[in-house]
Amino acid sequence: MTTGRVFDIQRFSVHDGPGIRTTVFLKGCPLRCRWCQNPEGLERAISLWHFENLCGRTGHCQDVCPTGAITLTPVGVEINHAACTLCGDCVEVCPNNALAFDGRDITTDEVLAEVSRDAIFHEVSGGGVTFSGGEPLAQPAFVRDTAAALKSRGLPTTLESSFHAPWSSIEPLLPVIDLFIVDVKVADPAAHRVATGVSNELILDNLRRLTKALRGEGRILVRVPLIPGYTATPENLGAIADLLVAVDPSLPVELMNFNPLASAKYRRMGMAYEFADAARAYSPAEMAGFQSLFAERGLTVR
Amino acid sequence: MTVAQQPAVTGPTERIRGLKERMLDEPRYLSIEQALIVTDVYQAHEGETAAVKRALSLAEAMRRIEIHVDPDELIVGNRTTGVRAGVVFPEAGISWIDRELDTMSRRPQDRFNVRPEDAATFRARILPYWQGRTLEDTLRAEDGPLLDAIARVVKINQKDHAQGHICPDTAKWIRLGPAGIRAEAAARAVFATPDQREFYDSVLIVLDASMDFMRRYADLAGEMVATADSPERAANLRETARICSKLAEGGAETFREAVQALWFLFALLHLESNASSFSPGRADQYLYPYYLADIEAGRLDRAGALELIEALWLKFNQIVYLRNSHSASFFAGFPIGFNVAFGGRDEAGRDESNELSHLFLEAQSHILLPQPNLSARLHEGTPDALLDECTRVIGLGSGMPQVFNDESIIPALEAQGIAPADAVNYSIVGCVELSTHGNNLGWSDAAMFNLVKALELAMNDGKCLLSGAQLGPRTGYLTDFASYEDLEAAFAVQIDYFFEKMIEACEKVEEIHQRLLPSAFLSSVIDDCLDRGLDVTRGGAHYNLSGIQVIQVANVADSLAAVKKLVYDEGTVDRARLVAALQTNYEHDPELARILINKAPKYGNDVEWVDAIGNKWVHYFARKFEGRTNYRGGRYHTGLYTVSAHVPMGANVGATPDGRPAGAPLADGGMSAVYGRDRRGPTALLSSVARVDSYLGSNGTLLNMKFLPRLFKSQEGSQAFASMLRGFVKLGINHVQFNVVTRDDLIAAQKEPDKYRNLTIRVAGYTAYFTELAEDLQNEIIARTSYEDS
Ligand code: SF4
Ligand code: SF4
Repeated sequence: MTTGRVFDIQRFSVHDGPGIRTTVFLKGCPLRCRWCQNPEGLERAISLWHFENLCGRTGHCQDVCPTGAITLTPVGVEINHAACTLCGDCVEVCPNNALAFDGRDITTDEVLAEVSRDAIFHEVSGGGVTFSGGEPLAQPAFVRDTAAALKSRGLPTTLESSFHAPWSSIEPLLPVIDLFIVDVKVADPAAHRVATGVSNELILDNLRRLTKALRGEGRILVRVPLIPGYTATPENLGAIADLLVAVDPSLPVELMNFNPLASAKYRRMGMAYEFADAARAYSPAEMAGFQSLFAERGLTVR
Repeated sequence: MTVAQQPAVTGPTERIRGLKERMLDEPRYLSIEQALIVTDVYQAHEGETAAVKRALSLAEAMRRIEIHVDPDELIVGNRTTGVRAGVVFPEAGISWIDRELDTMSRRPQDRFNVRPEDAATFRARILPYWQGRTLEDTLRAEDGPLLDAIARVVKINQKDHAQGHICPDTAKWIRLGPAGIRAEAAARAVFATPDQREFYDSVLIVLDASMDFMRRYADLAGEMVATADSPERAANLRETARICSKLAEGGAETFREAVQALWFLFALLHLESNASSFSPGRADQYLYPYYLADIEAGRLDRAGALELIEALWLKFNQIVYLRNSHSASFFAGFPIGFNVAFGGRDEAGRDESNELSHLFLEAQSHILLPQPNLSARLHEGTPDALLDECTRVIGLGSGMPQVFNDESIIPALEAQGIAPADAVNYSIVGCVELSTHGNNLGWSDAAMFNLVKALELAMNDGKCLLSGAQLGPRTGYLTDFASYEDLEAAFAVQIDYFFEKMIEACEKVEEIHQRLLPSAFLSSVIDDCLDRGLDVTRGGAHYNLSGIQVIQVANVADSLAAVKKLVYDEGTVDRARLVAALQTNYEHDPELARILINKAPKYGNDVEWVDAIGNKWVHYFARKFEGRTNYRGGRYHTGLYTVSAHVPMGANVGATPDGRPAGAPLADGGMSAVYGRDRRGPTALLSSVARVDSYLGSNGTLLNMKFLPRLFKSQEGSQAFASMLRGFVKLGINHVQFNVVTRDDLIAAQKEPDKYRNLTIRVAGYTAYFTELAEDLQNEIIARTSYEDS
């Protein structure tokens, strides 16, 4: 049985593939996109989080911690992560659920059990399971085994990924993943490194290989997140469109509007976020403008 | 599944728009006109029986009450000249009107203006005669102590108004008209036994008068032709006159005649009984032959039919129901429950939706008012096009249509002894109550049993946590119970105790209704009353059900789950600590409330054992009715809905082990989770709800879900929603309804009510104008869970 590490499993997902889906968010990611919507999915290691807004300052956590990793200070609760053994005693005792782990290990069978809870909804909607993250390709064996088990039960599978991974992690998925959603963010390799911490050469190489392997099957969707100042510029979007035309002009493209709500998540986790509350989602007119950059190059876009 | 091409949304016609505006602009007044007529007749016939007095006074009202016709109206008729008037109905109850007369124009919920001269006349001529003679006063005098003793656990209904929640045989009325039904009654009267004589006489009296009522409309419209200010209006008035005079003598033949006949029936039923919820039921079925005949004959086109339906929809908004302020807080927004069902299947599983089903939805998307209460009957074979149109209209946010599930409801009704042909033809009455068509006195709101209060007593030796009064038997404190099973045993004893008293009270109420409020007109449109020569209040209907509501699954499941897990299974919460916290409303131990909320799983999150607790206690309660019959000889059955009563019913319950503070609302709806406690999304909530056996809700169930409009803006969101409805059908849940509105919308409407006069919202089993709801209920709605389209 294969074990994977997830930070969430979400039911009734409707934007990550066809129908009503259960989305498995895998933990750990080699990229560091500045706009990351799921910061809890960045690190592979599980860690303990404290949510100041929920804390009632009871001190129970400090009392039960066997390693002295928690200190109640006049300004909040301090966690000494080096000393924390992740025993969970503090999580259990906190009356306010103000302490939580940002991930858990789960077996393929456990995923299947969770997914089967929505079997009726998957069936009536033609939905299934989406692997997202974090970066699912960072846990290739788990994704492969779980997807294979899902497919053998007749459930459609989708992978949403940055595709920053060795091709050897992707190739075994070809028979067990029905739809590949490839995130393409920045066209220029240097700018890509600034925005995400890595160059995009591997990603584009994988996209080419994937397109070749699945040509004509309609199993690839390209997704472009619209991020103010990073991806949502006419230059970048135009360049991405040119690049896609060169790879395969039949690739469908979906633009993902900027979601300003992520800043609340950062705030709750006490993390800095450069897209503070000022940033907003793009208007329908702005969206139409971005879409036209792809449409005028002959791509199917929405 | 594909989203069908949506019909072009053109909006209502000028005529309909104008009528709607005028209606909404008109202020609401208290009306004593009918009360004066009734009082005169009762005084003049002092020695007669109630049946005769009721029939004569109704006949007199039909002949004398002032009538009004708007030259633009396609469908005419009302029971007052003003719209949305609060009609005083003295037979049922009047003391409360006296008490509330001076505050009615400024009470928190459902205000009515009162003309000073009406108040004076009421107190001089109406009140003195009726004191001590009404349903309300009689019940109070004879059974007040019994009702008071159980009031905190059992709310007995129908204490101060006539019985409604009825789906008459509208199809027969349209086909035969009052003249045809009169002929049937007259033929049977020939063979009447002495016992039946008075019943048939009463029926003949009221049917004769109902024909005169229609003739009066024919005359008025005819007179108005001469002064009409346009040829179109003159033509319309002439047509109105022709139809009304035709309907007085016989059945309808065209679609407009059928719709007019339908409306006359409902105006007259309200004139007789001023009750909540006479429901047209499956109007797309019985109106369809008239529609089809007109279309085929080229007399009518689709647009013309739509306008007639919209004219009827407006009419449904013109009769409202005057409730006392207490009742108005339970049923806010004066819902009266013109419940129209559409769609559905036949016994073989074939879909029965038709073009009218679609037209009803289209009319709803144009009118967007609280009435009719539009109900979609879904089933396995509901066509995608109809489902997608339902999705579109739900997405508009008026809270309609609400959704019912043939696949679970039909078997649930059959389990109550209802014949398959009647079960498959079920309709909805009032908010969410289930009924057969045209042959049932369902008495669907006989009582609400507050299981949460009974649980409170079970943990506190039978004493009320709020008042300290000894309400139930002394079954010990939670501290006395060594095991969870001991607590369950005490809970059962408390339920048993109040159950017996509830039955006794229900029978008393029915007996007094029978004595004081025989209803000949209603009886003429409910099968088998004419056959049996027996008034509907005496058991003349083919089915004689009584519905008892079990309140409230979520709080019972959450409370018992928390006690079981934390107190008995894990031992992390001490019994004495819990009892002390409940007795002091967590004031000295707020941390315990947090623990109970956060450390025990909750109903609505697809956790089997928690959901099973809710199901277990509804079962326990429902099984107690086995082998019992109600006062009319029919069955009792259970429902799971509170409408908006979860607020006042919660106000009556002390702190509970689900972490809820004393007086806070219970979970809303009936099947919903405690708000904010369902954290796993809509499919998890539906999975939990499905674990409460649907046949336990044969009297009706209510599940509220709230979505943000964003979900409906994208095609995949709309498709996912439609799929979710298919899943709902497969899961076997009886009912669900949706609020689609943003928090910001609601907050803005609270601040600037004038701008949002049109904003309607699903309160519970019905839709009301949001800005006309009391502030606490508005806040409550804002606080309810909503699902993002994440
Ligand atoms: S136990 Fe929870 S509420 Fe108490 S101090 Fe620790 S984190 Fe805060
Ligand atoms: S998880 Fe265990 S070791 Fe870590 S802080 Fe909590 S109690 Fe201490």
